[in-house]
Amino acid sequence: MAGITVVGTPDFILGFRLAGIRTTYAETTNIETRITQILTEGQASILILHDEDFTRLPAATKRRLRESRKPIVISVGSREEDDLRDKIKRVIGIDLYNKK
Amino acid sequence: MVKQAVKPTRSELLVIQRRISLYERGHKLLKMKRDGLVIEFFAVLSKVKDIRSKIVDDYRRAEVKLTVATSVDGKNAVQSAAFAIRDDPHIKIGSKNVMGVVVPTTLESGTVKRRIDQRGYGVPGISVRIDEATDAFEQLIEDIILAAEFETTLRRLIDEIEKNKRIVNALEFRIIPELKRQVAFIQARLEELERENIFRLIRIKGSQV
Repeated sequence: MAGITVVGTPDFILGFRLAGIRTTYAETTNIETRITQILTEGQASILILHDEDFTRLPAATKRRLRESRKPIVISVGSREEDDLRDKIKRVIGIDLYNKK
Repeated sequence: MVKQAVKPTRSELLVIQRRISLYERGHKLLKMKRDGLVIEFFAVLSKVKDIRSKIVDDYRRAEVKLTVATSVDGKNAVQSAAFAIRDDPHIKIGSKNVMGVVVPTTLESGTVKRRIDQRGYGVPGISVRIDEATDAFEQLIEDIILAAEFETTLRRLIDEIEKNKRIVNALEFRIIPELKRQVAFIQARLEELERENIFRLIRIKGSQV
């Protein structure tokens, strides 16, 4: 059985620990190193990050996370997925992701 | 790319005509595949938009509940409750084939939402605010699991549509027209050779007479 992993600040991971997630990493400065380690190990099935932490990562790491098949990376926060919207606009040709 | 010189022979003409027929059939099939992928894409897109909005709302709600629990009950109480929780939620990732694209199937998340007595902490010792925060985060995790499946499916469909589009366009605007130009060239050349032969025969017959 695969698991869910959460990486972020101690306050961010606290809520997920309350919900029963055991594999959490409290990182404020070394998030990129931790994420690279998780990607290399390949044990996690879903990796949860905060939007702000995801935005601060280098472009190469962001691209690697978006293309990752295991773990599937989900960023949570206040923003919608801009990169998915841009990709849809590029491939289909229309902005189908706009809000009504 | 260096263009290969085309030999203006009848056998070469037949080879190229067969190739055109094959590529045109492939082009038609790829266009049908593209249409199928786009239909699947639209079906998943609406689910992704809904689940993403839900995650944004769920996270905001869960954050508020956690902030309230931390402020009123204290961070130590919340952390103690977090340490008391027993197991990781169990999830299973399967896969299925959608128009030739391998995508993850529904991830089982039956053990994410738990009753109060299943959470591992003593019910009388925990405040209702911590319970509500736990509820909110459990709901968030359920939605995240769904989002993981739908978003991955959508990304893979988009990648496949992009790849398919490139092949269809290459066939339609480069490869097939180039082959048809080669056919036209060979046919023109063969007709010219035929005319030269006829003219040669007329001259020979004329000189014999």
